[in-house]
Amino acid sequence: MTDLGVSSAAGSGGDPAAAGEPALVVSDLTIGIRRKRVTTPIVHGVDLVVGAGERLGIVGESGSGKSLTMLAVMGLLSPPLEVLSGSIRLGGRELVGASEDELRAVRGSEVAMIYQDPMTSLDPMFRIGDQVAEGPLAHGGGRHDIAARVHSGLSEVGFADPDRVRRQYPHELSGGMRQRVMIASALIGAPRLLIADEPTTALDVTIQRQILRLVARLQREHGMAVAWITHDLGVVAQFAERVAVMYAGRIVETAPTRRLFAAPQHPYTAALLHSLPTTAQAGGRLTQIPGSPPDAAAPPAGCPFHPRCPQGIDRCRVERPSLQPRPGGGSAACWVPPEEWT
Amino acid sequence: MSALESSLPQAPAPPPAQTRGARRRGRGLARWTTVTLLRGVGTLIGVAIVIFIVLRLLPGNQITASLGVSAGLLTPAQHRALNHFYGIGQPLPTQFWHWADGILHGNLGLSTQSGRTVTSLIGTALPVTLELAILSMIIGLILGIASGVAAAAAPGRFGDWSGQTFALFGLGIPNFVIGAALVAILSNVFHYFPSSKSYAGLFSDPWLNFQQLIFPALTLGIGVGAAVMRTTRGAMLDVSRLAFVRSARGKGLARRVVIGRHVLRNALIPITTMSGIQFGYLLGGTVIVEQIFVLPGLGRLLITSVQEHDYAVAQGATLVFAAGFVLVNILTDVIYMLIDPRVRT
Amino acid sequence: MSVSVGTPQPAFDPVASAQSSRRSIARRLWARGNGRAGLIIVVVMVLLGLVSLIGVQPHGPNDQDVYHALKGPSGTHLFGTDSYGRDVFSRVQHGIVLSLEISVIAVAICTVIGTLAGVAAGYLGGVVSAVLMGSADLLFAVPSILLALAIVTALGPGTLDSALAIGIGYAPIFARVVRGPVLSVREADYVKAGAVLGFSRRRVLFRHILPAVSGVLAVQITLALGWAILTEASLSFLGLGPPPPASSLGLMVSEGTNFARTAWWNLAFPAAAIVALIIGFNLLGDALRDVFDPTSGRD
Repeated sequence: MTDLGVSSAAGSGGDPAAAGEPALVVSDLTIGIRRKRVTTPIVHGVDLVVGAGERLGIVGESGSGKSLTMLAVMGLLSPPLEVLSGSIRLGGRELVGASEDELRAVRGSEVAMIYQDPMTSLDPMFRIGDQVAEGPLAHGGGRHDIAARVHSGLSEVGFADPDRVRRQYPHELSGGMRQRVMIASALIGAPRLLIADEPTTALDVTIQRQILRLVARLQREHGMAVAWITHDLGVVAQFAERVAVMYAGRIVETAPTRRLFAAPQHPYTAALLHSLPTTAQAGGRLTQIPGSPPDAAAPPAGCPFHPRCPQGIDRCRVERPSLQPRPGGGSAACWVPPEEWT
Repeated sequence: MSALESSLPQAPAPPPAQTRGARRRGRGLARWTTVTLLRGVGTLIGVAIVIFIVLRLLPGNQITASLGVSAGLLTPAQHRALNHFYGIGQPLPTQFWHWADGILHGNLGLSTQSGRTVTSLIGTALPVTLELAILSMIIGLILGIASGVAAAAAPGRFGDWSGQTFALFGLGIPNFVIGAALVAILSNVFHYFPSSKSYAGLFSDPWLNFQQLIFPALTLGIGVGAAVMRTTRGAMLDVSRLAFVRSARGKGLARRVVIGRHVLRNALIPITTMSGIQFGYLLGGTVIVEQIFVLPGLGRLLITSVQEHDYAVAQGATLVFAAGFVLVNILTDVIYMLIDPRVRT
Repeated sequence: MSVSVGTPQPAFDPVASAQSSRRSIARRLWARGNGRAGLIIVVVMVLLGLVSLIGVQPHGPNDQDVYHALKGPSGTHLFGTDSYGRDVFSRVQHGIVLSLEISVIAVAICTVIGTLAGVAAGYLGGVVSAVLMGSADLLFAVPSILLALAIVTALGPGTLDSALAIGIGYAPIFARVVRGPVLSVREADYVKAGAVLGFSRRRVLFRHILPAVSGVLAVQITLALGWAILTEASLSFLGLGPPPPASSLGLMVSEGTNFARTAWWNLAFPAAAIVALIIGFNLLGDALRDVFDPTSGRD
């Protein structure tokens, strides 16, 4: 579990911007949930690097800890959830143990987030313009300057008449429009890193594609890094340069996207790919992974995936594999190399 | 109070999204006004019928009640004349019609006790009760919202604990106990008798008026504050779980700003609902508090009239109370429109 | 993408869940701070009152002893004596019984009327619902203390009359509270299925609808008891309760204010008894609501 493996993956992912200081370095991050004085870890020692200007996809089932990890980066974990140990460095600044004021200075300016449900992510009581302007105002800025930024931000996300939208209330907009507003609101602070927490899940398929394209275009134009959390490998294939796969609170594989799809190094990744309709062979059956994911708070001994793993060997039951570099610029946490898979 | 709190919806359901446009909005407002007014008038008519019937169940009649023993000295002819004058002995629907017709002409009848018109009696009593109710409501809202926000800001901490204790006792101590205790403490410990002088109007002697009203208002305000506190606390906690609170914090807003701007603003909807309900209780509470603090308000007028079987006055006073309740309901709807853009369109 | 294969969720049946949890309701109440406090207060107060019925009280509530009038709390008179030399402790005991008696009858009245109206409105719908809920709204528009005031004046002061006056004012709340669950149960699949199978209305009513509202009813009844005690005390404070020499708690407070300076115990102990009763039932009601409706989001 060294972040070396991950960052080298980022480097060999062919990203030109990765040469600079990475946007985000998470090392050995453990997040726990506190219940009556007993704290149970549910995210276990995650190492993750997002290079400057990199597009990272974070894939996993719900409960795999992908959203929690990113909420921790935002400093938005609230009781009973808390960071137990590890480090989160954002543009060289340590966030674990930082004061609320320091975190606040970072949120919305260094890192911003767009969320799963655009219908509830905007306050129904306030006009769009006021909500978009709120962040920059909190970070100190001239009202006049901010008004102009709100206007250009709204037109940048595709509103033909920003002045009209500015005066509207959230309930007057559709889900896709609201997500555009959220994107404008996230980008107005020119963040180094944008975290996208399944921002298309709640939207129609056609709108999903529009939002995906929009974020991709803005990522190119602004040169920011994007960490896109999703359970949908299809989205990852279109968007990400590199993918991290999470399972039961751990990263089990990371690899450049093309490499991951071509030659998965972890049986879980392979199983995910098999259940994708696009990769299933014509006429073949869609497969599902038997069983259900373990409770991240009480994972089985050994490899957390072994109860569902078709490749399991005896060792998997007792000893947990760590992330090890794999040929082709990725790393995976599995005892059985793909060559030996049945 | 707490029972009612649990049984009523916390917030109006947001109306379904509809197509916009200024013209349509104007038409919507007109329709809303019509519906609200019709409903208010309907309620008042219903209340009038209920009051009328309930009060007719009272034993005795107004003449024996007002003249007492001397009623026996009346000749049959005098009796008939008085009966005719007060409308006694006519069939109930006829009596009701006379009364209702009078109301429409601003005539609520005559008091059999004092001989004054009910309208003038109510005219002198209403401002007292109105001032008392408004002052109590202001005290209750300040107490309730402040302690509710403080409690919700730090659940499980000292502020929460003291707020919850306040709510528990505020809802558990009847206002006559608070009032009686206040009177006892003021007069015995501080030798202060705010009600020893006759009631001073707001405009004739504002300072004395304030002294006479502040303690009764406090008495009523504590109960209102307790109920509002619980609603505020619950609503603040509910709202702070919503997604937009997280996204507001994600923009880098301070927690204080998020609570003060986003959470409180959204919590105002259930707080408004609860405040409207509490105003109704407050109107009922004035009856008791005016009795304790010897205030010449509508509640005291009502009690006296009921005890003296002064139908016309009792009817009139209750009707005014009910009208106040209906008005508060309308006011509540207007406040919804002011704070919630979803209701506005 | 459906990676995980979950077991299908069984359809929710409030009846089954109510029955399975019934045994543990007392335990879950006790596990909560407010439930435990409420239970203790209510049990202590009720016992304090009830034992007087079998003669466990220091003095007769109406035994006068003018030589020992307005004496402070002591060994012989735990709560002191009033202006007639009557023992305040015994009178408070009696007041509790009186208060509970009226409140229990009042709550029985509003439970029966309100529940019937609520079930009828929810189950039958249509015109019945409109008329019943319309009248409920109407009753809401008259402050309930005024309604009670008028009724009690009309009927004269008496246990049953007070109870009726208090009960009618509270019935609309029961109607509203009951109607909601009845509506949703009526629309629930297992009830519709029952109708298809030709179960009688009575069977549907007793097997499904009443159990489904039993939770809300328990909560509402408890809270209504607190409210009834409050209203009864208010009425008797205004002199509209059981007439003297009956030791109604509200009346005792009213008389106590006259001696507040010289004999605070005349005011304090009856007032404390009223407050304890109301707070006890309120705490219990809140705890019951938490137990029956964990989603209500309070604490």
